[in-house]
Amino acid sequence: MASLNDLKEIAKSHIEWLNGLGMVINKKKTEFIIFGYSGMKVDLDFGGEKISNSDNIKILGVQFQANLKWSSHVNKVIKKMSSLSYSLRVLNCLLNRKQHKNIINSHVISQLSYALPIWGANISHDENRRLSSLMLKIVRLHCRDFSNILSDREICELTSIRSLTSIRTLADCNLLHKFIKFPMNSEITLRLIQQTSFSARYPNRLNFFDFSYKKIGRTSFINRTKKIAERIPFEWLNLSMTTFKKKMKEITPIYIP
Amino acid sequence: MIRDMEMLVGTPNFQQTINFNSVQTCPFRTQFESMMVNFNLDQIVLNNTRFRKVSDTMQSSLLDVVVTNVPFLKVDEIHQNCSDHIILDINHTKNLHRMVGRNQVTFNDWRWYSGLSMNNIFKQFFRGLNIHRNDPEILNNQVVTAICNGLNILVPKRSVMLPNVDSVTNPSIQNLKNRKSRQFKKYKRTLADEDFMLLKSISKILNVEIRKERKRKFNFHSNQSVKAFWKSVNHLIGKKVDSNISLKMGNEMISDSQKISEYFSEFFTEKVATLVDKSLPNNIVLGDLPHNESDCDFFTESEIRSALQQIKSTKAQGHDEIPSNVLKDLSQSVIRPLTRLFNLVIETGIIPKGWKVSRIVPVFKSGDKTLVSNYRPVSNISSISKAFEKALISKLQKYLDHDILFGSHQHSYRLHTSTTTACVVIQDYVASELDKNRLVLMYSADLSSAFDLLIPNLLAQRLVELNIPSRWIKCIQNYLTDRSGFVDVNGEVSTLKMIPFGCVQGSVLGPTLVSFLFTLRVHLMLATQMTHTLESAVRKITSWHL
Repeated sequence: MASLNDLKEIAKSHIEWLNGLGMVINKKKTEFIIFGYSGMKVDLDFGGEKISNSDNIKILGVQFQANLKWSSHVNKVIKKMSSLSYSLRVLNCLLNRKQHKNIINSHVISQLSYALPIWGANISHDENRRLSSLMLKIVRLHCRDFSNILSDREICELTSIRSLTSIRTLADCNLLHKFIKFPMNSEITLRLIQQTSFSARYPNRLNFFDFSYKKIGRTSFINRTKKIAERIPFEWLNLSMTTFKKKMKEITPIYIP
Repeated sequence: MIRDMEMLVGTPNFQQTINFNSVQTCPFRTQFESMMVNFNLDQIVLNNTRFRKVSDTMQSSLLDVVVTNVPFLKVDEIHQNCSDHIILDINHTKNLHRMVGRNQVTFNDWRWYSGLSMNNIFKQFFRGLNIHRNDPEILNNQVVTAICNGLNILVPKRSVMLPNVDSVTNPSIQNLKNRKSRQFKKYKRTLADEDFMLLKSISKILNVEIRKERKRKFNFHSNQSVKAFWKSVNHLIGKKVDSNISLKMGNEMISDSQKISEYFSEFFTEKVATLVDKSLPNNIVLGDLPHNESDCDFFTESEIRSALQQIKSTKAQGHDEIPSNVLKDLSQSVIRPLTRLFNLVIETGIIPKGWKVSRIVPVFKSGDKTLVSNYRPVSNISSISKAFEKALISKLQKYLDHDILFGSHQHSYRLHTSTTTACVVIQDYVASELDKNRLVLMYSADLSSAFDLLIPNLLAQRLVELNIPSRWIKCIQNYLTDRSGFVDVNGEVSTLKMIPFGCVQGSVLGPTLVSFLFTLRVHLMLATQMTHTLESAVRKITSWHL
């Protein structure tokens, strides 16, 4: 493929430039990936050593896959969280509630919410279910004696530990806020709102705009998000999640791998 | 024997001086040692009489033992002075301020003082400084010694036992475990229901006992300090931090800290030396620096105050042993000598040697714990140097935020950006390119020890191109040359080794300098985008420096 060769040449020139600056590439840790390509393995020459492309690559703690799905990353998060839930149970008898909650916030929620807007939008229904059930399990652990009596919602209200959906909204809001402050990326901001599509994900929860106003207090943020909310017909909010998503795909250019 | 001991525990009064006449070894030493551990004390003073306030009148009374944790009662001084006190010298405070053992951490107990009161007391130490000197080297030494003297005299040391949770050694638990294993064997042999019920009941009791024991230990440790609490929590969660290092050297295993630190320092210097041989441009001649000096190059007091506030107080201290939170709290009294010092450094372009010495601590990366190559050299530099670097960075920030130079692809060390934004930009770019039926190749290259390979002259060229004031360039060049460092493993120190050039991992200025080195590339790429249009599959070369 001609385009593939071009890519290889460009990568080569970049490596030469790095060497010119006196930098040495650590070949063991160097990987590359070709997005949207699923065929024979491709070799690239990194200063005498050939490296073939890998299916997924870890960048800044996020697993990128060649087909732009996020299953490997989600699996890793689930694995970490489930091992944490065991140690939380050990800690349960040692700590008081406040300390226990501190540890949930510092260890579990930080694991879950890292880069959540990136991978959280495109995960499958099954993965979503697994994540939320794990989160509920941890919250129920926190409640101890009451956990049998109360319903899920009551527990969330009592403990004021956020559920998965509200963690998502918070992470998305924080990210959007950053992008709006960063003036270079106005195009990406709009695309981000459309793609990860806040409104598409939570048809029943449009009231989060008010919440974000309290949290962030940026008028520009609200104006922009409201514009997108206005594009959604009001009747759609009563639809089920899947049909809502389908309809959203029709009006917004959502990327389909 | 001394009976009915009366102990004084608490804040000592620094206004009074205590004199002593003789030093004796305590006959009941073990008894006192356990007491000292319980109260986190460093010294025990035994004296005959003292005055005490009883209902507004001073009364003299017999006092048996004064327990203090005043660090400055050195034994040598006590010999000379004469009074009616006896010190029980317990040889516990040996090399006190460096003692970070396996289970014990010693530190200046700064919490006793509010910043304001300390500032007033410290002013007397800075009064003697001759701040009109023109040599940054001498001035730096003066400032450091003034702060160190103040710390040693005024601030008591405190040691805290760290928890050792892993061993649950209660005889009753051990007994139960034995019984359980015996019962299990029996059950396996017979497979009877009765034996099974018995086994279950034993294991139930055992679990309860273990839980109790854990709770007891945990409560004991977690009450001591915040650090101890989090260490035990992390231990239970599975993030175990083991400060005990043993290394493989050839076929031998070494566990002596002194040998390990020597081995580490050899390895780290060799690693950089082999990389330097490989890398190409070693002898770049730098032309004359431009004359773009102005008064804005110098720092004002407010800038340095904000820089001092930016230092993280939780970070480890450097080799001069001034903790960063002390420097932070003392900002009022320290600010005048520091501004003078920093401006002298900018003016002369000479960075004091004390700032260039770094204490290197090996930090475990991953893999086999006995291999040297699995450790990363992290340097602790002195906190005054950190303050200077912070102040310089806030001045350099203006050039970093320049959008034409950096574009939207620089996500590290800028305002309003983070790892998440970088990931979003990558994902967005990839997705939009795939929509247009194009392939995207992304490679992530790991630069081995990029900070150590920063060539001063090459970097200076870049900085000249960016039109950065020549005074700062001189400073940065000086900062990157003739550094030195020693490895510290559990308080045991290796010999000082010279590092000819390069930045160290753990410095404040390093990451920013590396991103400055990469600027021109992004700049050039933007230029090529405008002039050439590659008609092939890829129209843009983008590189993210993460």
